[in-house]
Amino acid sequence: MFKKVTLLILALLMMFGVMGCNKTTTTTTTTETTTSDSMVSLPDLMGANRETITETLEDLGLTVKYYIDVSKIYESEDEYDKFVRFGQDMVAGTKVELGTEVRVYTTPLHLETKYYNNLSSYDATLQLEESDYLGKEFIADGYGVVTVEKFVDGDTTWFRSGSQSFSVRYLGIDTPESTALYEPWGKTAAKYTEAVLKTAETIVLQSEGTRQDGNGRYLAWVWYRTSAESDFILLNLELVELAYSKNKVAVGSIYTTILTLADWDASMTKRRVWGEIDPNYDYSKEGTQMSIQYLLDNFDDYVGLKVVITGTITRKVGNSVYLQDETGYGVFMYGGFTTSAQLQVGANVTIGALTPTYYNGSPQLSNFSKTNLSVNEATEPIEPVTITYDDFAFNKMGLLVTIENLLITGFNSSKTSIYVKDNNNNTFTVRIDDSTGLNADTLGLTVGVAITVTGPLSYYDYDFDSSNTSYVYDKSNYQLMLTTSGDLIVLV
Amino acid sequence: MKKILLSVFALLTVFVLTGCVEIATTTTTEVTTTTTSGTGTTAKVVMDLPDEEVTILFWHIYGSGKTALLDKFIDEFEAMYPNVTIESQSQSDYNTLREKINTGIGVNQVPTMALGYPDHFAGYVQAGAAYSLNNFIYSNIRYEVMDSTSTIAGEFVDVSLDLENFVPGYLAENNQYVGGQYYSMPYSKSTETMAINRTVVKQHVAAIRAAGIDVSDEGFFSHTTPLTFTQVQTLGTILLNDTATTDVANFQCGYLLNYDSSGNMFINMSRQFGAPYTNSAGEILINNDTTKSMLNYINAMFTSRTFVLPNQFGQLYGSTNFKYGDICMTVGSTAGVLYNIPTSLDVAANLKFGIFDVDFLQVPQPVATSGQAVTLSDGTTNYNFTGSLSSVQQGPNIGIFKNASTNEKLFAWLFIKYITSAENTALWAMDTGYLPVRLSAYTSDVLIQLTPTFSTTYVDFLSIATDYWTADGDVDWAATDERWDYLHSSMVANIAKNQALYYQYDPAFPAGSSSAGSATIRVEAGYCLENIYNKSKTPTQALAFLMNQIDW
Repeated sequence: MFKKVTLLILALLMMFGVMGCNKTTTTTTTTETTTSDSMVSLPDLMGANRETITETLEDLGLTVKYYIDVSKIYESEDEYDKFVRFGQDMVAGTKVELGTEVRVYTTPLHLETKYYNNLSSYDATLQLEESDYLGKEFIADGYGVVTVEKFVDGDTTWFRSGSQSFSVRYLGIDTPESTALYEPWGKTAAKYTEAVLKTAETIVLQSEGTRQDGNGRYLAWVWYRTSAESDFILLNLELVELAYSKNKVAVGSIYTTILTLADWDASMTKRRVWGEIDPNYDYSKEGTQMSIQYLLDNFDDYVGLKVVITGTITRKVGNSVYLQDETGYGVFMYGGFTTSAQLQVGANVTIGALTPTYYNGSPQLSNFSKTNLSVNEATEPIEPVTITYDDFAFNKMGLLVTIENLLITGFNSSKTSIYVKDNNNNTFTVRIDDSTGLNADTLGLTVGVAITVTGPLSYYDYDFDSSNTSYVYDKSNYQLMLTTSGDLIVLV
Repeated sequence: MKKILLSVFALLTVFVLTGCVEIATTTTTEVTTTTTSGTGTTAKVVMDLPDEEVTILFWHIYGSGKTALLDKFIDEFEAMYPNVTIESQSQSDYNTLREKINTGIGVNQVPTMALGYPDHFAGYVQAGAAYSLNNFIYSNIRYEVMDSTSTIAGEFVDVSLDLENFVPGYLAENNQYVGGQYYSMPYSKSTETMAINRTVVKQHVAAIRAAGIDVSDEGFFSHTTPLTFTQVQTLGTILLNDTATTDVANFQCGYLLNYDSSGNMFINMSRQFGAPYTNSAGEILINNDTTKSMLNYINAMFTSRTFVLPNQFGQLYGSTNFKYGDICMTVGSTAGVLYNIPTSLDVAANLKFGIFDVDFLQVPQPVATSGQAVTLSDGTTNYNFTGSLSSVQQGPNIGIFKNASTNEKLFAWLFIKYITSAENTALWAMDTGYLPVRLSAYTSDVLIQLTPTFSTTYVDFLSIATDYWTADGDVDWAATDERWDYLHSSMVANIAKNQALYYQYDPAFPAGSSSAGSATIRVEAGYCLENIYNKSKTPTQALAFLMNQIDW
């Protein structure tokens, strides 16, 4: 009885299995018997490109499925589109059945550039012509010739139009970060944008849709040409096509389709932002442990990399802190929006994966994450060091100092910058951090009053350019940071 | 003989139960273990886990902050399955993500898996590109991990998923597609909560109590019972200045309650008013008398500055002007909670009330219990309707695309299961501000390491806020206590949990031949309220314009 019932159920199930599905995939343990005639050996493909690989394998009666290996740094164009290995543990000489789909890993591919440098051929209506912008001004009319005021990163530049200087965020793209935050390929993208615009004969901005973003930056398509005779090139598209940026879809834009196509093509190559290792980026989780003195003495060597710093917190401004270690040097750590109750004045902490950067000429550590913070046993309290204007130097920035007998000469409009001069008539600024909620009025300060101030030394030059290796630090741009009213002594 | 027959029977059962599912090519080993799962008993069929190399392309929109944790999950998953590589790619924003996938569908080039909103997946389903996750959810296959280098070598991995462990509202949102199939699973879910300036409220405790609203000495309202619209209007008589400017001396704001998303405001208030909006069949039901009445009420509230939209300040969100003290209360996404907290990073001169205390409440409701008749009044007109409790359920889901290979789909699915495990969804929630998608995350006793010195269960994470509220804000935590860092996140998580009972989602459907899709309707509904707010259209004109835009 059991047999009969079981066989009946089996039969029904088999019927359903055979008839119920359009598509079936073999899942049983059936093993095909093969003969040597149906087997081929995989060839040695070292050095071959995809075209050759495909041809060779198809000639053998095999199909091929490609993958890209991005585990190495590639230093020249000759290294792209080259065989790396077979997949699934196969090697040259492995025997496989005819018709097998063979997996092949290659290096990243060459970038095709078929759109940005030949836009008219793709769609002439997209091409910028002189008639589009002549007689117009960008801010007023949405089109206009501009010059570069200051480079920021790959997708943001300050331009000048007439007497107006303004920040522009490029439409349709989003290059990796390279200022306060560092991401792979961010610096490379920034350098590329800078190099292109520095050699441009004419730069034209074109607005489309919303004029400004939430940060007050103008939004624009950025066109340039290298000579008066050449066609304008859309830099936004070029950055996508060359894989310096992914496409950030500008909804409703006339350039959306071409950017999407260029973006897809670039993504298939796994070049740059699409997966290739950035040789200039520090991929380590923690970074290199070093003293603050060593960091400051070698700061440029570590910009954009990752470091581990141990120090005692001397002052706190919002979520950010000043750290100082036993070498007698200090540095500012920018906390951004990350709150951490453990970052308290007096605490000795070790923080990993911090990225050294410049902020208007002042060295700082960014990229703070609570997950990289550990609190050590408390050390001796840090006492301020009394210095004078003559001692101002790059490696004194971040240090907790006291400067005595400063005469107030004026204030900025919000009374948070106190302009002072010392006994030798050297002038600089005492800066009251916004987080204190203080200003000269609440502190009872007026012009002509003498003060002694304790705080970390800092620096601020809006025109600072980190790429300018001959930049000279101007002592008048140093700032003494007042973070608490207790650090101020009003002299009678 | 019986044993043999049973084995064959079980093999066939696998084949039949999985129906037309592609099963990962593998060697079948032994069969039959029986487990009880959910409501039924399922015979599990044990198979070797496929060991071929698999690369999964995962598209999302996360920036470097969230990808740090996502990368951790990926590292752990790849250690569990050494043959798998997950390429995680951020696509900037959801518009970009959707447009790229839609373009890719046309040329059969899409990622293995991606994040997306319900209307995105509705479009992918319509295009035939999305893969039904029912194939995995109800699978009876159990894989044995044979790779000795795996961190789970020798363990067994079930393909199926216990749906009863998921927040029901999230599941309903994800199987609203054709045939009731799951084409996505919940991942980064959020809702709306209301931030309130407690420093201002604290100054008016006596007046608020005199008006019949419960409030603590320190200015805390109930966190379990939402304020009603009538109570909000009452608060307006106390907290609103006579003019549209903030009165610092008297602790009064120029505007009372901001709604960040005008689209959400329209949709959620439609549910609260019992006004038909759309349905999953794609029918547009907006043009009705209840909606008209609702729009008139909203218009009156705009006029009295009881309600306000970010447009008033030229902003996309109300957080900036909430911090500035222009607004006393603001409704926004739980995922953006920290933007409402004034900090030292803000320009001090802009913070009219300085760095004030912020509390979080449920979004206002028309009634205490769904189904109650209610009458709202703007002082001259009464608005009568049957009220319902409703709060917005939003945030992206995650799905798999059909053209991936069998094993790519399998491991993409196992990755979805991994990142939505109770512990990982809780960690994701605590780290990002999103909400756990599994009910078990709320009760799990597994400690989750948030920083090198702070670990907590999700239960204890929730108790950070409840302890604080119970103590009326007077807790004896040391300044270095890391609970301070998670206080606001914990507040919002509690609020979200408390209003989860009445989460509602927006039915998702693509554009049809005669009407717009759900995403467009949401945008146009938001414009409708903005037109009313700007006084560029009357409520009647705005509704007519809305219908013209979405019903072709």
